[in-house]
Amino acid sequence: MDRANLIAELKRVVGARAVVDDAAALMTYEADGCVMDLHAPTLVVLPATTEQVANVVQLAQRARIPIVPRGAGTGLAGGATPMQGGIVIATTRMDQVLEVDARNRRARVQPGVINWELSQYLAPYGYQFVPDPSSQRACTVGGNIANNSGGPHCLKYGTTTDHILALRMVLPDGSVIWTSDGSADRIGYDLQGVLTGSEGMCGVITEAWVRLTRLPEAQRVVLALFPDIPSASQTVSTVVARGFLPAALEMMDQLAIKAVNGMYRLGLPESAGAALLIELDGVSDGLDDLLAEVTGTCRDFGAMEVRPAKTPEEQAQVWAARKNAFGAMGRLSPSYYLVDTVVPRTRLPATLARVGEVSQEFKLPIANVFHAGDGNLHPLILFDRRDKSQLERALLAANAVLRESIEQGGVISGEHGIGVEKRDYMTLLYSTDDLAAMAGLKQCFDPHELFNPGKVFPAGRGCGELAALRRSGLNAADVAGTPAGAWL
Amino acid sequence: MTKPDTLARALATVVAPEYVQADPVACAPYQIHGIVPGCTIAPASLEELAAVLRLAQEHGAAVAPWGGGTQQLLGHPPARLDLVVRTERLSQVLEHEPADLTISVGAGLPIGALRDYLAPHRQMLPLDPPLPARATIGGLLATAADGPRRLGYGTLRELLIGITVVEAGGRISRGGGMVVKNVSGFDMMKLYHGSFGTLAIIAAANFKLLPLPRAATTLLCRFGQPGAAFAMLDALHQTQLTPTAAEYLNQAALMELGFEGSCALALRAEGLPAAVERHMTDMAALAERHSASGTERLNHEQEAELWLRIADLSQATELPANTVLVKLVGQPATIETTVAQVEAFAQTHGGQALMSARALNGIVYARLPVPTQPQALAALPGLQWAAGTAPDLPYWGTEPAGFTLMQRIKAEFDPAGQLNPGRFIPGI
Repeated sequence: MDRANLIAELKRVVGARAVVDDAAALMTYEADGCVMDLHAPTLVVLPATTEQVANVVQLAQRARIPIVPRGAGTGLAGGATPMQGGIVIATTRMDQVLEVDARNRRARVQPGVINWELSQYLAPYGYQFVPDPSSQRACTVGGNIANNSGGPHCLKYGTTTDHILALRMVLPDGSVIWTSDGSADRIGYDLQGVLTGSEGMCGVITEAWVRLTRLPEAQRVVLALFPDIPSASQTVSTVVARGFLPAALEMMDQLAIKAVNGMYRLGLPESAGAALLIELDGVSDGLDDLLAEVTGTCRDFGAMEVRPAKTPEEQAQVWAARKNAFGAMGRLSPSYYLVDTVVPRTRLPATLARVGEVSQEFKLPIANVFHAGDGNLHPLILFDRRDKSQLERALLAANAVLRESIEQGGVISGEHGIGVEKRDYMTLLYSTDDLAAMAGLKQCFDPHELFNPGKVFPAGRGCGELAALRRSGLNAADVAGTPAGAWL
Repeated sequence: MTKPDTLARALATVVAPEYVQADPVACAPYQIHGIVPGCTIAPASLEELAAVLRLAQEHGAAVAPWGGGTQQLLGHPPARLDLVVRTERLSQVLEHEPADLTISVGAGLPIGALRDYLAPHRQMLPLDPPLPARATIGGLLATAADGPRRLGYGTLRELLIGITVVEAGGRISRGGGMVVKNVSGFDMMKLYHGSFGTLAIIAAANFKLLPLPRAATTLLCRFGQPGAAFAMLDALHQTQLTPTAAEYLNQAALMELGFEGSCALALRAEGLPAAVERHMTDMAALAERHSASGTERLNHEQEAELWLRIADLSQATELPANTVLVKLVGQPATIETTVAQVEAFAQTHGGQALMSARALNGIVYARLPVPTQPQALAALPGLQWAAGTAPDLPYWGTEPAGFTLMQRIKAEFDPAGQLNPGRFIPGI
């Protein structure tokens, strides 16, 4: 089908105003928050209903055109970048909260609902949708589901997958399913469990039943300042091990403190080597005693200063500093590369020490703002994109951090996903057979590989080749010259 | 049908011969719905398990995985059964770094043994399924088992962070890792959880752990009418209290537990001592407001014992003759109606229902008389499965959404249909 025909067909499906075909306008969709690799889509459609999405998918399937689902485009791993062009299905217009069923603690929403707006909408009912990534004021629930997003409060309450009850999906063949009726358990294979976090490679989410969590009766937030990272890290381990069960446990290093200090007038001593933000929640009974134990633990490990945020306003200010820390980096450097990795919690000090060495090695400052309670690191490599040497060094530094995380028994993404950014690192973490199992699963949904091609699986040997290897009945070890995990 | 002797001889080359059985008497304890396997085997390592499945494929043998054997009454009788693969020797704690609050264990480890192992570390894997001394990690994962504390802690679905499986044909693959947060690739853990051994045999699993709560207390509230109990639950659900279990028990369940009364709620709170106290006070007040006929606070030993026995009410291993255990799933708000329908159903079929319900999760377990027409059970609201020895039970309720996709997944992971053939949803 030629382009003109395709445009005409799509306009018939979604309406003339919901098809973007202007070259300048298409540039917006060349990438998401990961701007290392830009590819323009052939077209963008903005459907309003599940039926429209299904019709678009059927059309694309007939013409064998790739499809890339897109929420707000805030992803950091290139998950929404149309690597092979094709049709981007943006969920921008599907932004309704359809039903709040407070009695059963669930809500039915469209994928384009903004994460923050959903929680604002639910607050008067006394509920929240727990996942709260730093991008929550812009990112969509559909994007959260596709990436199994996290956020600070996942420490206590789990990531997005724990908060999804059912998905309505348009599958790659254009059919529409609800994965379940939204009750607690299902029989058969856990399709929504597999689809959550599948990075838009298995279909388009068009509706979801999400789990609602009652807002806690009381919260306490404390900001503790430490002379260095190791003392703060030990505090993290102890707070977790002693069973304080904090709702969030976040860390910032010296460079990050400097950045947010200026922006939020927190008046933090810039001599501090690390700041910990600890939130406790639950019923009010016993919470102040727990707070006292937590602040005591901070002091035991050498905290220079412990500041409880007493009023909701003070708490909000501390949280704003944390959640907008990435933005505050603009005060330090024109660009940054945010790396997302996870290590076992006890390996935090060693990993952070290595991050410090990497900074020295590649002569680029690295700030750290991260979910310490989960062991989820976010080194921010500061550089100037206009300087080619700096860009190259930033990529090398990121590579060194990822390798170190694997070395420490960790993984290469805690909440941002693999996308295109980290696809070639997958072989460092998984064997060929591990990846082939994932590829086989993906092909059950999308045999023609039209959905978000070029993601998650390594570029050298994509999903199709892995799945074919698997079906040939050969184990990776049997294929001469390709020992498991050796073909990066 | 594979010849048992030929298969056994081949298997004895990869696993120590004393762990390979082809004698019908020795194989009899591993019967599934009366069908005795030709062979059983207990591999001692991941590599041995892989070798066993490779041989099984070469011999075209139909394989059933076997952990503690506590849930073999779930599912249809096997269409074919040549080999039972026992995971009892894959029962080691493989990795445990207490300060990381993570653990990796072999699939054959009984959850009770894991509980005992973790207790000195003051840690827990907070799942409380029936028969913990026998039920293994692998079996609990494969059957997506639950327990009353799922209200506070979820099921293994939420706690599983990594998995090692052996696929049909002997291919070893892993998913996840040893960290508590991970989106590196597809979530393969979700695929195997609840897959009933039809895609691969689970060899090892990694979990996140929790510290043991500092305090735990239980309130047993008895009511004259189910309506009052459910009204109290509804009110409780609207508060900001966070009980870790809220189990509805009907008259027969109470009697089985040695209590009198027409129905009760067992409510548990865990956590900080002051917070637990607050829960007890508020819940007792709520119960009184909803005309509870009695409210009893249990001491630590009593409550631990009670919860073990409540968990066992939903066991599907030793069912009295002519009874069936069903799992019904709905919403918290529909559970009152479901419970009433189950009571009426039992009466119609000349017996009594024994019910324990994870009420705020919308889940009911009921032990019922087998109707003359077992398919009549299919009319129960939200029937998810029926387990028992009676023939012709509606084992898996109605066909689930996305069934075609499930068939494709089965064909991809077990193309020759060797793993648990015929036992899961018809067509898988």
